[in-house]
Amino acid sequence: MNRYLKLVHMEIHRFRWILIAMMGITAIFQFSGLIWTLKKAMAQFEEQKIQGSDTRKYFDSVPDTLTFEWAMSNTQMWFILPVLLCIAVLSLYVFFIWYRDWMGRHTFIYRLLMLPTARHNLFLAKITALLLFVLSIVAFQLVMLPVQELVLKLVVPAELRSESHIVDVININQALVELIPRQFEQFFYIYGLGTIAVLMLFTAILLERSYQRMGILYGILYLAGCVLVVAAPFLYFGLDSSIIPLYPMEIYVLVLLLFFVVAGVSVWLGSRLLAKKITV
Amino acid sequence: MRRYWFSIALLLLSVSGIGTYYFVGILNHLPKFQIETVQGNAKEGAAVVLSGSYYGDMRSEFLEVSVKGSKYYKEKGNFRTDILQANSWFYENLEMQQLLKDHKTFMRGKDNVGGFYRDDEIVIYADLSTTTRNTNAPHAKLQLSFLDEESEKVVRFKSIALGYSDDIYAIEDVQRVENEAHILFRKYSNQKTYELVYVFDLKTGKQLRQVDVSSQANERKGQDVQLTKIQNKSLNNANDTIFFVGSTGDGEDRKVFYYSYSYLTGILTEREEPLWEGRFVVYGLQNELIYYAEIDPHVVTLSVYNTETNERKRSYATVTAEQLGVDEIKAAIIESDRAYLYLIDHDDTSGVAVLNLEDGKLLFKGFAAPVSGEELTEEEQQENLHLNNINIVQSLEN
Amino acid sequence: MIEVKEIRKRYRRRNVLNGVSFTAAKGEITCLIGTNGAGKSTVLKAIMGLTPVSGGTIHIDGQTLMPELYEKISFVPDHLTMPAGMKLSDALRFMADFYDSWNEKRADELMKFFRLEHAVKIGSLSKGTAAKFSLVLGLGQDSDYLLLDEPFSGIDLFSREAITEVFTSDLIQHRGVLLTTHEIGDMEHLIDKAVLLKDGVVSQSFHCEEMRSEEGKSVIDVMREVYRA
Repeated sequence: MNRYLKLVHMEIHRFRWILIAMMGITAIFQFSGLIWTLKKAMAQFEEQKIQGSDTRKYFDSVPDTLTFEWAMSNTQMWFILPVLLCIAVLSLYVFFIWYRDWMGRHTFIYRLLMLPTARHNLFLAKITALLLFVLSIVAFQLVMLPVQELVLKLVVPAELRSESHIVDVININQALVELIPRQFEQFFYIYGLGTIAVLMLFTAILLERSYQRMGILYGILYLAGCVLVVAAPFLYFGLDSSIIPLYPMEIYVLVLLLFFVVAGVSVWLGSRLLAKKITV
Repeated sequence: MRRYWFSIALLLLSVSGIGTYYFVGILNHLPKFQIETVQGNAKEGAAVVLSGSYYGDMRSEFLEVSVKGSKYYKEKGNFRTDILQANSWFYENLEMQQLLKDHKTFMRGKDNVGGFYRDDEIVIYADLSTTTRNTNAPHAKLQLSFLDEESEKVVRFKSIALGYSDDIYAIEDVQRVENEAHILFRKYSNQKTYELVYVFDLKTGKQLRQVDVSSQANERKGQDVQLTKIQNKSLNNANDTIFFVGSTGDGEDRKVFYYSYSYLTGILTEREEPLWEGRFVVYGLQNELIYYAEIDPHVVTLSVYNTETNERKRSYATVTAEQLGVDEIKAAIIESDRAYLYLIDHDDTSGVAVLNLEDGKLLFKGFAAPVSGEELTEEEQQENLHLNNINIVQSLEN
Repeated sequence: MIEVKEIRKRYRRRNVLNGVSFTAAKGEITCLIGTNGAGKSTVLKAIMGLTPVSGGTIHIDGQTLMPELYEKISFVPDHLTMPAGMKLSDALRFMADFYDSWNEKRADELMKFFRLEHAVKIGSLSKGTAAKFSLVLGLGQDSDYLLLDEPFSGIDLFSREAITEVFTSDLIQHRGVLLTTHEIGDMEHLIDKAVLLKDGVVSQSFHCEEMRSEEGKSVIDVMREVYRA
């Protein structure tokens, strides 16, 4: 357990600058965009008061009181672009977290494989670290929202603003509404699904690393197999099934079970590949 | 330990950030509503569901309000509820619920309410073959399942061929007449619709004969009559008769006729007397009685017509908006011995009145109101609530 | 004792190892000799569990390889296997973190002996310095066995001298050392046992002292016989 935790820390430590950079870029983009929008909105509001509503308009209409929800709605791009960047970086790192150990002149994989610890700890440490990166960025975004609301309160005088509920603010942003679902149960499903997908990819990567050229084929076949297994209840056990039609509750339970099975098999297979088949 | 501060900080950030949001941050987002009982027995209002939208600052939220409380569509939905919602309209039918309770294995994979027949001895289910069901594939094939209520044995007949390719069949009704199973089909062929009854032997599943229902109507009128079956609320039809509304022409030339069809004789009879009268009518057929309500923003009139004796009690009960203390009666639904009225109160509040179908007595009256103890003032909440639809959802517990 | 029995390995349709068997005892320095591409590195990697074999067995003190054994056996590969962005001190701390058998005092002494600076980044080391640091990482463990892959290849003369000095010190004496090389050169006086690999099998395996006293041949003489034939 101890060595597993140390490995997790090592994975986090070697990624820390990129993580901090992503958070920093997100913060800069979002705060700048927000402040810019607010200032422009207040300026337009002033103009509307003075000259009536037909002067050159940046916003279609500025409401009497600005809310964070309105501000978010009109600053979408500034918020979404850094989120997309983070998603891209983390997606690439799903692969890079493995391949970086094989690349270059200093193949670190030698060191990792020779550690006096069970090899499945290497696998588990990487998935743990990756999961933590994703969750911490989501949490960072969540923490920033009230701070951004504070900024709004500082920039916009009290008579020109009114409250928004944080859920409304998230909902009006096209990216955040997908990444931060309304219910915790749905959060668990979405990020659980993501985790299982990454586990499948990890195993596919290890197949490639163990079998070289054939490995890529094995990897793709493995991924296809997993997808088929999980889709099976919907494809083969639905209402018009010729095998056995299942009731909705039964389908739900079966799907959940299969997801755990696929996750378990991926971890087991990946660990076995690391222990017995991997080659430097 | 100090060395690991970054990792520990990351973990704390994740847990506290996400945890705080989901257990504190999302609270009090949307106000709660419920149908408050103003008069009568709350149990009578239990099946009523009003739906519409709650207007937020920039977006609206779809919600349902009932005596139990309010449910916002987006807040309650996740993968699990999406899966469990499959075929909910089927599982919400009271008689389907009873069948599910009694014969869970038999009910597996069945989803057409119209394909069921049930009496004390037997349950019949008719279905179109699964491989061709959702396609226009040639040779629609029928599947019949017979379940003996006592022994729970099931006899199945599969792949009973029906007709030619390009014909689309839909099963509308199933009726048992002694040792025969009569199945009413709606057939689409060459851009015309036909109502046909195919008769099968209960024991052998063999097709005995066919009855062309729509041609009986067409011949008599000398033109094509559009037949629409009138829904009967119970699964077993004691007197083997079903009713159709037929129409010819459209627009100004539209004429409406009423028919009854007897499974026993196979004869479609045009009724001299219409089944109901009035302009805006909702009806409910309960065995041989057709109850109907004429709706006007100010008054609702109940009438009943006995299809066997031809006795009609026109306007045996009247309920006015004034009596109920509201501005407008917007809609009505007749369901299981009750008439449900959708009311609009003085300040646009939605409400419901439940009348006893037999005598028109008021059993329940209630209005959608905010549940107290929320952040926005109750007036503001009520203002933002825009309900516009009524639905009756019954469950075995109700 | 490291016991390698009949190990086989295929790589892209070629039988790199075709039934290799030999032993390396504790307290001895065994040298695996072969031409380029003879599979020497592969044998070391196989012993260390860094690459699978398709047949045969490998035992270390009678046990098959498992994670705990890595405390007892250390490997010095032919290139430095620590991330380029790490500082030398970080790399040492890494070893200390994960190995119970890491001897911090000895590691520090070796750092001083080789004149390596702690704060330097791995990526900036020259080949000779990197080789020296590799050795620190290998020797800093209180391991029973030490495997080295081409420890002298491509190293400048003075670095080579420093490394040779370590070999003769008591840091090595009681361990079992297995190293590979393709140029025996000035190493001959260091090794106790020679194992010659040819065509995927062990062609000859002998103790150098015995070969000298009994047949009057040096290791290079035997090499000539085996590889020129």
